[in-house]
Amino acid sequence: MRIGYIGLGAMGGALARHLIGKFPLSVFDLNKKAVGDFVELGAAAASTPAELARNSDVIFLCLPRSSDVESVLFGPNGAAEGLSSGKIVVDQTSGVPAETRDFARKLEDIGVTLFDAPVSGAMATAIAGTISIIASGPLVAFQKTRPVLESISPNVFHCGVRVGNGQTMKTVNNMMNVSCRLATLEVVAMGRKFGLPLELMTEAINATTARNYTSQGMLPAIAEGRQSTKFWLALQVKDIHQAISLAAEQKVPMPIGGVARSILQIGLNSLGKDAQLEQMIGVIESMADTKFVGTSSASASKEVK
Amino acid sequence: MTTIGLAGSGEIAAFVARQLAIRYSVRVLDLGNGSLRCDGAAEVDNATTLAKDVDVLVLCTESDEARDVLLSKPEWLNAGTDQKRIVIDMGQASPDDTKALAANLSERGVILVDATFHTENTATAPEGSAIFFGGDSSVLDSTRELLEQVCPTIIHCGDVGSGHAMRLVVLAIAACNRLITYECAAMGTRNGLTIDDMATVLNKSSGYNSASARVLPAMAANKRTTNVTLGAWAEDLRKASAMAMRLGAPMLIATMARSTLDAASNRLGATATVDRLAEIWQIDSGLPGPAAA
Repeated sequence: MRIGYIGLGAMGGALARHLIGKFPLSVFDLNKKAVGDFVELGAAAASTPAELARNSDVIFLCLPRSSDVESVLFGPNGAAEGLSSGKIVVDQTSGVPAETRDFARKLEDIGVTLFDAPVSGAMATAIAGTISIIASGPLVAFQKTRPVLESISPNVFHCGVRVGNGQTMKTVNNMMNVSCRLATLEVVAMGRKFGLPLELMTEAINATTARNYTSQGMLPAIAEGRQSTKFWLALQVKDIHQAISLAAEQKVPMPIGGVARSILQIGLNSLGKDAQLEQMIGVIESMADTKFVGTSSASASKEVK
Repeated sequence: MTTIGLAGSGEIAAFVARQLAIRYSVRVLDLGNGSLRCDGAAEVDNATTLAKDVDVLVLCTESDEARDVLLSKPEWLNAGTDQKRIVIDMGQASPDDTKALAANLSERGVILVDATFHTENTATAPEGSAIFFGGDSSVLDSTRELLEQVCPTIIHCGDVGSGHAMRLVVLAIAACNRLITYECAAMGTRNGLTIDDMATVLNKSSGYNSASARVLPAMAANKRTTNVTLGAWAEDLRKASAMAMRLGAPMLIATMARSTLDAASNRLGATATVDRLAEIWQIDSGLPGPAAA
């Protein structure tokens, strides 16, 4: 099975690396250096998405947004020009489910099956090959490409035959992760202002029903001075906007998600478009006027009597 | 044999009474509806009788008022003993109030420590449960066996009051975990996902939290996950919010959680269990149901 991979950014590059040596691999990216690195490892470089599609049986996409997927598939020299009946497109983008379903319908007209298979997890898990792959779409195409997905990570889920369910699940996951992350940080900041040590709070939270992905990963990392995330804050804001939009379309209230979105937006506005998610730690610290590690501000009352 | 006097009311106090009665001679003063009665515990009808000749006094009240009534006139605490009396507060109070009370009682020869017990479900404790101890380590050393009889996970948080502060931190995050899980599950369900799929995928992904691990499978199976009431959680979240205000911490999400719990408690009643929050999300999101646990 010949594989083509389009989108060799931080996440796409980490995922595609697992395919080197296991399948004949062609790659395409606007970043020539990223392509060059893959060529050195044995992959073939395609000059356009159309050329990559002509030379592949299964095409993977991992792009920033659904609008990028549309351009790569249907724009000038787009992959659709090189696709033919029986080929499969696997979209690993954190895209908009309804738009992905539209792309799938368009490709169906030429006998091509598209399904979504976004990933969820830290960059370290993508590199280690343990990231969660959350797929959805026609079962025949999913089963056919399953060995390829499992060579990226054995943690593969299939969430129904409707294209886009995987992206919806990813969006739900992102929202839960971000909301719990910010809630944990802001409450721990309050604890720091009382004078509770971070290490002790981490132990208490993880021993009880307060534990979550952040308390198990980010809090110990802060205490040890390690970085625990590697993700653009602007992309995180985009993901959360997508979650809020999905909720609004279905008239689902998301009061906590709305607050989490606002905190992230404050962070992005304060730090600028090149900020990393990790820098939200400093934003929460400054909002509470405290430090997670070291000497916290005095716990004296801040109220005006 | 060590004799323990326990004054309190409610589900947590009843659990503490049952656990202590397994190993110790226990005397109980029930401040509620009789839930503290259990095999092996002798019931008394006043504080002075409760305190007479007991080795350790434990308070586990549902309200600050009940605790304040007991501790504002502390003569009964010294009944029948010339030794320094140890009083363990296993309820949830304001950390500042606890500090102030401890200072006052100390002048009367009474050592007050806080050892608040966090659990969302006494039926499955000690899973996810812990005691947060605030006070001198020598007092913890002398009472550790007693506390371990209630819950084997004990975390010494610092001086008196710090146990209560730690519980507010833990509870605020636990409440956020749960509310975030309901909110996101409602969004996913309305967009075509099943609770079963969400339980499988989210709990193996970065969306994992303690509530998603318990609540999503329980919702799919129509089972309960907690016997804590909305009223109790709302009351404790109000204390967390008050502490944040005093300290100058914004705590935007946990404050929203406090408001949500107060609203839910007003809608469903203070004695409804926290599991019934699922009904609120089902109704407010236009989902079929409610499938109350």
